[in-house]
Amino acid sequence: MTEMNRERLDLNTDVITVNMGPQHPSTHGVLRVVLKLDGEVVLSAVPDVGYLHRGIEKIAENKTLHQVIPYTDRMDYLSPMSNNIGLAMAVEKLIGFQITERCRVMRVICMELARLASHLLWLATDALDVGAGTVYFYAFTEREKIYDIFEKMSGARFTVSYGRIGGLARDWPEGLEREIETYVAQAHKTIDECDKLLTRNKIWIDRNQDVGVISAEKAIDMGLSGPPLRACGVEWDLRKAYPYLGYERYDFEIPVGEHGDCYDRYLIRMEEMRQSIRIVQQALKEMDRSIPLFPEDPESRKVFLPPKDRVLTKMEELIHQFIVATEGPKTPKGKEIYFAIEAPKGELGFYLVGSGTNVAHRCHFRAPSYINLQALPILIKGAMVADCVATIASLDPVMGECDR
Amino acid sequence: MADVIQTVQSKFPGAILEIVEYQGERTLVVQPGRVRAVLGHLKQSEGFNFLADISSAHWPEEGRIDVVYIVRSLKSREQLRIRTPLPIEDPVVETVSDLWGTADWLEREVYDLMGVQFTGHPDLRRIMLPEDFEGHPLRKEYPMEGDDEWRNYVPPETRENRE
Repeated sequence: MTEMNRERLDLNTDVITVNMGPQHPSTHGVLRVVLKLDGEVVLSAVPDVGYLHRGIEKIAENKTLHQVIPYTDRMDYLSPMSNNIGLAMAVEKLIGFQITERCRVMRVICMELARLASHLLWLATDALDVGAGTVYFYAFTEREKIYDIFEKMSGARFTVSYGRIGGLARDWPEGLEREIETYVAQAHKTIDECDKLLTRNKIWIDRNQDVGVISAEKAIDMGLSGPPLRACGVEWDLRKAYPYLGYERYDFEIPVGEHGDCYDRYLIRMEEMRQSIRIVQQALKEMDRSIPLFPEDPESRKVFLPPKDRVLTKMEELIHQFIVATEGPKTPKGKEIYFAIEAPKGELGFYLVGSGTNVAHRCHFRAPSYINLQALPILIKGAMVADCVATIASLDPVMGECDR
Repeated sequence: MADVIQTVQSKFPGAILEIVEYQGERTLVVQPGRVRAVLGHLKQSEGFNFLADISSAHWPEEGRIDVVYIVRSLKSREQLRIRTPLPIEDPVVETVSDLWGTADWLEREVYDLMGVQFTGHPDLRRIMLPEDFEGHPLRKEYPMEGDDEWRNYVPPETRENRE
């Protein structure tokens, strides 16, 4: 034994408590983790959430359902498309409304692009947290292109508020399909580039493999969903399990891992991006502009807000706008539904209870970030402090959604 | 699905108060005292291994708070909702956090925002709001807006000095 090692054995280390966050750059928002450390080893970790609690559920129970949509943007602010389309679909389920075929296809494209954007941001920040700065710029450049598309759809890049009960906020401008097509045709290039930079990189593997491991059994017990659950080898994707928006028609695969570690979660998200591209390409082929975006029967018209250009030019649509905005879709009193979509972060669920008016009696969101984060103490127990950062990044929590 | 409800009915006679079906979803309204037993049975014997969500709803006119559990079997893809009505004066129900680990934070959230007590929960503290917050905001009588900002937060260690 060398002199140095002997010295190390004599070192007396105390258990110390370290506050990680709430404003730590790699906690992805205002997450505080209280770490008990013995040297560099994490003995226990207690996540503390709630710093970003804004009472979205309370607000949602005091606004008309149309007014709730912009609030959902601020939950998972990295994929607002899936939030507000998810809420719209939940309300449609509660009131029993059927959207048109074209709207379904457009929603699929929007949601898959949102998944792509969200995963690209995750890839950028995950790599940055682990020390691979280059990937950040590649992934962000790519993400900007998706936001250009969102801007053309909705007028906003980030908080799009594009979903509407009964349809979408507005029709796509002429030629946007072609633009999306050209975009997705080259989108795999960045993913491949990052793949080359990371997947077989020795440092990346050392930092991610066998870090933050959870077994399939424990993952189900902790209610994990999305990529963290699939990384344990559980083949569970709501798009396949309870298909919505006609996802059963598209040909795509669910990537499944086997070790349940950070590396598998990374591989799964990379593959999910490729599958999203496939879905968008298939959906674009089904896009048919001759089908109307909104249903045209008179009963359905009492539900959705008519498009703005028609409101300002047609008397009848102005009346509809007035009635829908003030009285809105009447939710059946006391009836309840639970509707969940496979959001980029996991299972995003909506529990709605009707009140007899256009305001929900109860509006609860099952936030995947909140529930996935609960497993953090299990994932990082016994790991090093540096692994803690990699593990949080691989869970991909968004605190806006976690705290609501 | 029908078999599951039948076995629950025969195993726990009188526990199911009502079976509601809406939009293809089934809700069992279960007596508060037996909800844990029913959920335990669903998990152990019927394969409902995934607890998707715990939520709650306040009905001031009826004087009750509903606690809602959404359970799911990942194998058969069945989904079931268990709802239990609790009296508003004393909303207490047994915890299921030992059956599913995910129930820990979900029950804390319901406790924090709705004020339901979960007996047997290992760590029933507020999770979203500060520890010295008063009231439960998701109850209907809680105002949407107050008269003023909430500024009574005093760090616990200095609290006594101030008084």
